[in-house]
Amino acid sequence: MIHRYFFPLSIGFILFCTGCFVFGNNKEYHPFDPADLESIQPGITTATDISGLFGAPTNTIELSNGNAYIYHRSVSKATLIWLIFISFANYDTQVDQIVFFFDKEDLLTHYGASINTDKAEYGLPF
Amino acid sequence: MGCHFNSRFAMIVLAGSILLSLSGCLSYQYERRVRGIEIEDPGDAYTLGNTSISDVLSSLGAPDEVYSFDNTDLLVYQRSLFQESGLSLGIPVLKMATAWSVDISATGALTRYDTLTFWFDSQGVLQDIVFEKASDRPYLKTLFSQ
Repeated sequence: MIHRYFFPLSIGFILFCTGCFVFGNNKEYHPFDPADLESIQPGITTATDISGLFGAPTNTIELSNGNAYIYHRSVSKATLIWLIFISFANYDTQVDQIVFFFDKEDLLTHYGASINTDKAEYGLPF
Repeated sequence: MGCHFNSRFAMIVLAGSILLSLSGCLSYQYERRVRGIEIEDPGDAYTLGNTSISDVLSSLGAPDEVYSFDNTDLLVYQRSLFQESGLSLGIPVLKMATAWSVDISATGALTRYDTLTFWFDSQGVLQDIVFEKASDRPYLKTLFSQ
């Protein structure tokens, strides 16, 4: 009975040992809290208020009628599979980004927020 | 019985040796990288000369890129899809044992961008929209196109 299953089990074990799974997580971290958006008001909040709440922006852009502050962070989740003849890799990167627009007096005119890092997923590439 | 077991054991060792030595010699690799969420066709959701930056930010959130030139501000929403596949053949044992080796590989990589771009004048009024969904194009056909 043991001999009957020894060969296929041994081959299966060898095949299993030549494969490999890897899960990875990579973050570009910026310590801002999207909950702070509730306290800001266009027409009242200034660029200084935003810097006080969210810290230094990741990037600033000079616009035709003011400036924009960009806050950015991302999460990447990687799934890698190595089998004997085939290897697969899947990377899913999602971003949290908030952009504040200011007029020439540094008063907030409008803003947009995309909070998507929680949507990054492990998975197969197909 | 002992002889039968020994021949099976020899087959296992042989099969294991072949599989282990071939592992990594002939291989197919496929890699996929996605950055960003799906971008949908805006259709008639926005009106040129009427829609404001605030309207776009309210419906789509923060853009991925912001540009400004010649009194025009651009909001760019983008998702990228990178795919690479490759086939390689190499027998490192030959290189160790002999003066020559076999090492052949072929790879093809393609990055496609889904992009939605809004042009605004200095008053923040929408002047133009461009939408491109490149990820719908077939991988191999696009890879080998001119």
